Amino acid sequence: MIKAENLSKKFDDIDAIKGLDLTIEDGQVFGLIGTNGAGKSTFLRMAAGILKPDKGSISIDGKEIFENPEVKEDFFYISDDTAFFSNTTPAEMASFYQRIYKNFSMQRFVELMGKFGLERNRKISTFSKGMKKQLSVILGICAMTRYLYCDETFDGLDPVMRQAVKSLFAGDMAARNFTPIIASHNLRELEDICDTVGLLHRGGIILSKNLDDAKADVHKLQCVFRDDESKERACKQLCVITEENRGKLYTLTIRGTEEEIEDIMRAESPVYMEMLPLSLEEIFISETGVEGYDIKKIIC
Amino acid sequence: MTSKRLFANLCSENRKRRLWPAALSIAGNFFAQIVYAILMCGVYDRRLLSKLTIIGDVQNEYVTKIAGFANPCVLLIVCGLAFINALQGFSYLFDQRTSDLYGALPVKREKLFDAISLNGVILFVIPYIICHIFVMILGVSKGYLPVSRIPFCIGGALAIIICYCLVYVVCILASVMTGHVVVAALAVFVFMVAGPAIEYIIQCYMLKFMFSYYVSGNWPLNDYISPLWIIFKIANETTYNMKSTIPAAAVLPVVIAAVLAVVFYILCRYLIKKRPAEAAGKAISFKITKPFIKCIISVVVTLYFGLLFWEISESFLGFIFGIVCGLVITHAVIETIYEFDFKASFTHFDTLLISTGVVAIIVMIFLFDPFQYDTWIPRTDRVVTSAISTNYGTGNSYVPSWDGYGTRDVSGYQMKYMKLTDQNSLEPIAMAGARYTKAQRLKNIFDNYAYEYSTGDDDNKSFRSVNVRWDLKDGRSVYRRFSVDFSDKDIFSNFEKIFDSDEYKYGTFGLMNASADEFKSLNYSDLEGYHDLELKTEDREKLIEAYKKDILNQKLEQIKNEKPLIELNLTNPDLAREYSEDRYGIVVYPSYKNLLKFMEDNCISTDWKSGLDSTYNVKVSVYADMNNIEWETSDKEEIKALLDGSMPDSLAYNTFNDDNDATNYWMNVEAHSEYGISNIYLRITDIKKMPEGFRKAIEDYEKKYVDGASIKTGNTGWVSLVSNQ
Repeated sequence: MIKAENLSKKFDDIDAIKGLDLTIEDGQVFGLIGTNGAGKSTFLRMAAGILKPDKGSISIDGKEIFENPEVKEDFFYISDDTAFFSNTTPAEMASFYQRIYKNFSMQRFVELMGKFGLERNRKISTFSKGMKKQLSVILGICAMTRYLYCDETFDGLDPVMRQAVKSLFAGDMAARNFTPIIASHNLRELEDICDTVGLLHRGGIILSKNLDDAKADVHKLQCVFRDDESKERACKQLCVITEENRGKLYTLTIRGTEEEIEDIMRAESPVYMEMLPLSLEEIFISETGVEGYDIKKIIC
Repeated sequence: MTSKRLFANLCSENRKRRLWPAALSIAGNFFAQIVYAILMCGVYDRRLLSKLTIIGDVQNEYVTKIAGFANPCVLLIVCGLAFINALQGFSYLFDQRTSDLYGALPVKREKLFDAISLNGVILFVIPYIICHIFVMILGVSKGYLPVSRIPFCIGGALAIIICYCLVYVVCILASVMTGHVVVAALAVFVFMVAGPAIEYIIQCYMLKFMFSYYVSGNWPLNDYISPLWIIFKIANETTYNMKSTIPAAAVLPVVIAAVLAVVFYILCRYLIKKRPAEAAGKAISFKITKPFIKCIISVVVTLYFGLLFWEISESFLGFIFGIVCGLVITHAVIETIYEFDFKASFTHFDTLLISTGVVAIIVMIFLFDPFQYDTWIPRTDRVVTSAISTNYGTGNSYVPSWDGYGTRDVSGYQMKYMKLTDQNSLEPIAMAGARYTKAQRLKNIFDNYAYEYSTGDDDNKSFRSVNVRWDLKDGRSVYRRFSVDFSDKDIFSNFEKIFDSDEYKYGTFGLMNASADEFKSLNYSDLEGYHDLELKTEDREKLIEAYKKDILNQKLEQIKNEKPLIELNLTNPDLAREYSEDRYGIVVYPSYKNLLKFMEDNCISTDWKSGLDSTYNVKVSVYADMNNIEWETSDKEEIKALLDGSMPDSLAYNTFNDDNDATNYWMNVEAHSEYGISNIYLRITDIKKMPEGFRKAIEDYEKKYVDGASIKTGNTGWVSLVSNQ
């Protein structure tokens, strides 16, 4: 478990992270969402032991990360701007990491390079941005660490590759104790992969929530009411977060359990009623709305 | 993974990233050692074949300058490769991506630092040792490197490796303290030159503002204020002690280099641990150091600016203008470098104010001398011994310099060896100097008058520069330089007491302390020509004894009225190839009875005019501004008169009497005698004694060119050589 307590980091006069408290449980895909400058990369760099926190602490299983090689063997960090040694090939990079990470699997590296269609002995400098990202993920996976920090890693991957990486993560999570932590500024990118999402804004965490729990609490309902009085009554009883309509067809985002909502609506005997799946963005609109934030201004 | 294995893995992986510096190191060592040695062997072969040199000299040169420490090409690559290997090895500190890559690895920063540092040393050391072994084998096979001298070469190689480590670690320190490769290169430059630059500016300001400042030679620590200075020091000591098995004088600087390398390494290791990862790409890694670095550089550069503008404008206002310019320019440049933005020049005025304050304080201290450096003299009860040196009365002593350069610095000898116990005679002289300094210093500073000050500007007075050393009871030696009016009777009588004391004589006339084996030969010149004779040990001992007796009997009152007879030069030809064979010089006066007897006993001329009787013709060429004055005579009387009114220039300078009749005319006299032709360089000391024809030639010249000026004050230059007809 990664735990950050009152974590703060300043760059000159800018608060990159300010009093952040966050817990990342093992065995899930954790998404770190926030706009540019929200502090995602800074958090990940502190979680990777690159930056030393100015205040507070960040630890894995209670052990401080900074300058602690024993703890640092538990994660692999993929930076936003993928870094490789100059004039090297993937095989040489793998050889380097093999000497550093005791569980690095060269066999798996060879296998994954083949699956992703990347040449092991080609100079990395000739790779495209997407290929470099793929290589980073492959190296990260093959390091066989407990945690994999991915800073904007999915940015630049085509949908097919993104899907391939997601299935790779899923496979590893099923096979071993593996927790990918993915930072992104794009909610839609993480929608179908994350179990838990933390929302960062201006160096602080606005919320961190398990998506299944969030989904159980917020619902999207499409319906046609019998008349305006019927709509008024239903809305009074329901906790409506957002409301849209096209003629008589209303789309409501409602907080509450599915049973509660169905009971209230059935009592009004609507002409048409259907529960729709919620997007991550809609969940966040509801959640951040409660906290008093305008999500549209926080995420894109 | 075990710690040792991880370290080995890190080293191995790091080496893969350093292939081009390795290639550069191999190439550098190959050319600087092997190619250079082969080329020089060819030169030695040719020189030996042409008998331009001897094998002993070649061996000494090979041992020191090819296979030893003082190989200039190796010293060059030591500095170059240390710089390249450090900046390339730690280039990850300048790039955030690579810095993050390394920072996220499960490796302690210090361990990574150790691995990279070690590789940087190996990159140089292995090619160096291999090439060095080849050079030694080549030297032995050619006979230029005697097997007995191999320890010298091995010691030199060890010193080279230590010096490489020192420069390398200093370059690493620059990399750790900065976050950008260009700034790191600038920092290396600062580390290399900061010490000498600060030392030099202090020296310049002391000389410019403190009129009693005496340059007492290098402060011992001056050799260690820069890694480059340490290398020069070791190279010098190695060269001067080329004949020894291991040059002992070079051991201390090598040990200091090794200790400094270790200290800097520990400092770097500590700093790398503290260095924030976000420093990559920034100018300075540690924010806290920014104002200090800026202030130090600002103050030093500004002080240089002030001095430069003062020299250009020859006005104190120029100095102030230079100070202002220096402050503004350094502030703007440093802030621009710090932020990589020209607009930053208009920020951080607080540090500009601090720098201004520091500069103002320094200038005020030098200007107004609040600590009374310039006028300080110790109480006599605090002084154990002392020394005095002035250009009065020392012309009759030549001593070999103790530093082995062969210069004859009597003043330096006096300041080093003289041990006066009579402080009561010295105190009034120093006191007069201090009083004069106090009265004149501000006027002289604002008038930019430093040079004239030292000799005085009052025609009725006879100012002389007097150097004083006091050895205090607390163990310190304090040096001062004053201008003292020797026309003052009290001053002169005090100096006379000092001059006549044995302590002064033993501290001035070096031959009194010499042993017979310090010189082998004696040479001198007279009208008969140049004479060089080898002296037996017992003759040398007799010479020293006679000289000692004469000097101890010498009184200022007597000798100041005498004219010197001849100059003898004592040499040691064994030293000729090392620096100079000249050892001691003696100017013989008529009152030196014992010495004159010794000279007569050994058939040594007792007068420079010896050979006058057999001289039948002289050709004179007097140098003058407009036209050389040529004159010739075969008349014996005229020849005698000509020589009576002149004196060899070296002897003319050695007279004690300031008010002699010496003119500003010098002449070259080509004397033809039965012994051959000899050329002698004379100064006209008494124009009235000169033959009429010669005097008329001078007067005609003056009438024509000097516009009525007398011969006594005629402004002329140096004698041109006459051709041998």
